[in-house]
Parts: sequence; structure tokens; C-alpha cells
Amino acid sequence: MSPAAIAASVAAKDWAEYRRDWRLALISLLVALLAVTAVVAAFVEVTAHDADRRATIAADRVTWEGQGARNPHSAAHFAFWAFRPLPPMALLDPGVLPYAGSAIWLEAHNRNPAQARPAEDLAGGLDLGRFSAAWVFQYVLPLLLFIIGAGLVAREREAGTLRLMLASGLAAGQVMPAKYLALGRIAAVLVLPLLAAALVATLLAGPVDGVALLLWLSAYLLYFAILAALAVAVSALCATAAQARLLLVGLWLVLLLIVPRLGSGLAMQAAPVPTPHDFAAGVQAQMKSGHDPFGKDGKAFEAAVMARYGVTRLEDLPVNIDGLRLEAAEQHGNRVFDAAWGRLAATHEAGRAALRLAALLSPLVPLQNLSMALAGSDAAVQRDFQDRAEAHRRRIISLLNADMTAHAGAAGFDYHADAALWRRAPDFAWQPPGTAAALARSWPDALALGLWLLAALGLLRLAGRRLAAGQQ
Amino acid sequence: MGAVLEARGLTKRYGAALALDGLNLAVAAGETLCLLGANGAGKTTTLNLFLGFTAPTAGAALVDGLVVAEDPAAARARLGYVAEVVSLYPSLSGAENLAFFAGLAGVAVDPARRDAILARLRFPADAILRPAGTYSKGMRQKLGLAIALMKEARVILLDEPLSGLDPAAANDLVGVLRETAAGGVALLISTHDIFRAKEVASRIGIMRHGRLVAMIDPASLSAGELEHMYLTHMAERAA
Repeated sequence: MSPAAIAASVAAKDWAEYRRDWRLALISLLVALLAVTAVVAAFVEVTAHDADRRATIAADRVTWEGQGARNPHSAAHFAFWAFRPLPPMALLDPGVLPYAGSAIWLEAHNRNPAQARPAEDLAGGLDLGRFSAAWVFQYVLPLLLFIIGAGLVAREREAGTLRLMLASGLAAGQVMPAKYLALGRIAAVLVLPLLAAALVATLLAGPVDGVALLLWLSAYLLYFAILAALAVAVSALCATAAQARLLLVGLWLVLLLIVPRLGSGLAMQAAPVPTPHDFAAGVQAQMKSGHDPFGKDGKAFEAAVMARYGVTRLEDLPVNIDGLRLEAAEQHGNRVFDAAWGRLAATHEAGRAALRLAALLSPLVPLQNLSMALAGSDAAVQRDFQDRAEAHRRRIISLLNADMTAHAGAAGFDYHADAALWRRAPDFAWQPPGTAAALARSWPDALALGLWLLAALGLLRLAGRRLAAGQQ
Repeated sequence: MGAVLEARGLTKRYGAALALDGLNLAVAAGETLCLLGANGAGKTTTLNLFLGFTAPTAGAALVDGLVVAEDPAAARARLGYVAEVVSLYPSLSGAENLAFFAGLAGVAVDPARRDAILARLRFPADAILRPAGTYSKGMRQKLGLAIALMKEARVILLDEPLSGLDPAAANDLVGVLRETAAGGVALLISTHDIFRAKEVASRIGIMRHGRLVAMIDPASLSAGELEHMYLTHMAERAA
């Protein structure tokens, strides 16, 4: 009998035992129910969000164009919104999006933070933002895999069936590959239908990049391969199934709960992020201390403009100076925003780099990074949305300032533009960064997962050697 | 007839403890050797060395001429093993257990052959499709023997096969073992039971402190004489 046939035979036997254990079947059913509930809830949320977003954009456009005749700068304060779509793959992994705003109010003089965070709408503060397919795959299924895997070798040793297996012809070196395959088969039966259901729901929710989906799936299969190897190795190294179960539950706590939380906490200590209040106060202080063409720098600004146009009196300017003043103030504000938001992004990046060190201690950390990046729901995507919304704000404000500069003349702030100008302001259109960008920022996570697999397989091999050396 | 099971100066040491000390024995096809001895005498260590579950400190265990330590898998392919309590998967039926363990030996179970073996072992025909968790100890021992016979083992090692069986089941199993040996299979049995050993064995080896201290032809002694001889050896041990 070939090693592959022996491994398949052991896997088939373990699967038959698993199927007939009603307790495991019940737990598996509950996990499946949990996953399906998460997928259905996410499908409803993603599709409802998209419908809401489209309806709100349309209503916002009607309001914008229907605001009547008014001064362009008044319109710049009347303002409009940029709405972030929920990527269909957020159905699989919502990532940071439940905690990140999905709408930004675009107005003159201010770069506003994103608001309308789904997590704020949760009843009683219940953290349902994490109740997702990814949550089931990242936390619940691994626990189930560990519980099932704990007994795979240890129980055979305790019951004496391992001796009979070896005496019947199974080579000691074949035990670990066979048991790994056995757990893989059980995991496949558990995981694949859930993944398939999640993928179908994702495809129904909207257009999805097939490559991203395939890579996302591969990342999870890699994750399960790591955990299955750990489970079988621990089962082989422990004297009893109860001991293996205890150790694996402990490992689950440490690897999947404690290390990522600890890593996150240490990352926040290493790169502390200012509170929203402090951040806004810092920006305001910078704004006030800088260039002010309406106040302390007004005379110098007027002189510079008159020199540029070759006139000596403001009345002789061919343009409206208030429009220019507004644009100059806007440019100053933009520089302040760029510096402040740049520092914030650098702080986030430093925190992310610090958290990445935890990837060496927990396979969940790189998996989460990879999963969110491929699903288009990580902080980088949110930052891109905010940056693009800010660029859009600046384009619109510049358009309004330019109109004021060109057409207000002596009327100044009494000048009124009409719907023709409002219609020239484009809608906010944003495409999230694609799969290539996700991979460019997440390859260290993919590498870390690969290293974890090598380490887990190494442990499996070590456990196999101990078994072969007569530790049975 | 040549030996299919042989120990040549077989020695096993666990740290400072000498579990087996230069054991020499040979079992031919069709012969049944029972090893008698108290706990710790070295009986189970002997079986483990023949099974290749542990490596000898010195000497060699041979199965059908193969040195076990050099190629345990090849040696095991020629061996059958029946533990004191035959461990089966309780949720699988007897037939599934049999098919699985025979499959590991590379034997595809033919139902007709299986049923013939089970009939020979007087295993209840209707029980083979029942979960093994419902089997009595005697039935488990017989199924263990059936696994060995399915793979056409030339040697079967049995570790206390009769312990814990009620008298009727023990009688039944003794008969089955005799018939198995008569079929040309070499049996090496580790046991505490002097009287059952006399019923089933061609020869009886008495072990003490890891050494084979006597080899007896059970036909040459009455049960009482055998018991006396055994107790004498044990008393020497106590002294």
C-alpha cells in the first residue's frame, strides 16, 4: 500500500469517526450556522449600504444643483458629501470599515474627518462589527480545528489503537502525514462549504476582482494549514487527548487573542495617535498662525496681486481679489492639512510596523492584515478614500473660488452664481486601490504566513520523529 | 522446521533498569510459546522488541529472518498483534475496523474470506456490522486475531489475551488459538495464567527479572507440577 493510499485510508477512518460523533457534528453545525448568519447579515449590510449610498448621492446632487443663486463661497460652505462605497469583499472581511467613517463633509477651509461609522449604530455598544465571515474563519473555526485535532494522535495512543495501527503495518513516519491529511479532510468538509457560501454571497453583492478573491481564499487555506499542523503536532507530543486539548485551547488563547491584543496595545504605545480633539486643535492652531490674506497678511497680499496684474489700485484689478484671497487661504489650509494628516498617516504606519512584529508570534496578525488588504477594508484603503475625497474637495473649492475671482468683480461677496456653476462640480468618484496595491503593502504578511507554515510543518516533523523514535 | 520468531541475546535497558537480559528463544511455525512471569519480568518488553516499538540495547529480535530493528515495517508486515485489550474504534463496526487495520497491512478485505475467518474464530456472524463499542472482551480478542489472520501473519504476538475473560470465553479462545497454531502460525503469548498456558502452549518459558529462567514442555508436567515449578521460581525471586 502506497504512503498516499495509507494516508487516505487513515483520513477516511478519522472522517467516519468524526461523522459519527454527534457532539462534534453539533458543534460543526453551530459553527456553520454562525458563519451563514454572518454572511447573510453582511450581504444585507453591503447591499443596503450600496443602495443607501446611491440614493444619498442622487439626493445630494439634487440639493446641490437646486440650491438656487448664491455666492460661490456661500455654496462652498453649503457643501456636499463624499460617500465611500462598501467593497463587496467587505462582506467577507469588513476590516476597519465598521469603525471608520463612510462619509466626509467636503467644505471650504476644513478637511473634515470621515463620519457615519457603522459601529456607532450598534445596539448597546455590542461589538457586532466583528461578527463576520472573517471572524468565524479567524477565531471560531481554528478553535474547532484545535478541538478536533487534539485527539487525532493522542486519543489513538491512549486507546491503544496507535499500537495496533503500527503493528498492522503503518510505518511510524507515516502517522503524522496521515493524521495531517485526516484533519485536512475534516477541515475541508467544514470550511469549504462555508467559504463557497461566502464567495457566492460576495459575487452576488457586486463586481469582485477574481484575483483578490482567489488570493483571499489562499491566505485562509494557508492559515488553516498552519493551525492544522500545530494541532496534529501538539496532539502527537502530548501524552493524552485531554492534555493536548488543554494545550491547544491555551495556544488558541495566546496565538489568536492575547498576542494580537498585546501587539496592538504595544503598537499604540510605540506610536500614540492623538485624540480627535487634540488633532483638530493642532490643525486649528496651525491655521491661525499661518498666512492670513484676510487679516494680518492682507496688505502684503493686495500689493503682491496688484504687482502681478500691473495695477496700483484694487479697483483696477481685472479679477475679484476676494476670490484670490479665498484661494490663497485655501492653499495655506491645504499645506497645514497635508502636514497634519501626513504626520497622522506616518504615526499609523509606525503603529502598523510595530504591530507587524507580533506577526512573528501569531499567524493571526499577518492573516488579518492580508485578509483586510485583499478585501479592500484595511486602514490603507480608508486613508486612500480620505485622501481622494480631500483632493475632490480642493478641486471643487478651487472651481468655486475661480468662478468668484473671474466673475464677482466689484460685487464681491454679493455676487451670485447659478445652477450652471453647480452643475460643473463633478460627483465624487472613487475607485479603491486594486489588488496590486494590496499585495504591495501586504507582501510581508504573506511572507510571515509562509514562515509560519514552515515552522508548523517543522514542528509536525519533529513530533513525527519523536513518535518514530519510540515515543508512542 | 526453522524459527519464524527468534531472539538472539536480546537485551533492553531503560536507564539503570535492565528490562530484558540476553534473551535467547526461537518459535517455529505452528508452535505456541507462552511466556509466564510476574509483572516486570520482561514479557511485554519482549513483545515490544519483536514489534519494533522499542529498539534493543543489545542483541537482535528476528521475524522470519528479518532483524526487526533494521526494518520494523517489513517485520511487522509478517506479524500479527493482539493486545491484552484489543483497541478498536468504538463508533466503527467490526467490519470497518477489520477493513481499516487489514488495509494498513495492504490487504483488501474480501467479505467471503472475512466471513470464513470469523466463522473459524467462532465470532458471531451478525455482530460484525455492529459498532465495535458494543463488543465483549472476548469478541474484541477474536476480532484482533481476525485482523492478524486477514493479513496472513506468519507470527502472532498475544499480550495477556485471556486475562479478564470469563471461563467460557477463555475456553473458547484457547480452542481458537490451538486451531490457529495448527494452521501453521507461530504464536508467542505473554500470560500470567499457568493453567491456560498449559492448555495452549507447545512450550512454556518462565521469565524473571528480564531473564528466561526455565523452558518447560507442558506435556511432561501435570498442572500441579507446573504450578509448583512456577511458584518455586517466583519464591526464588522473592528471596
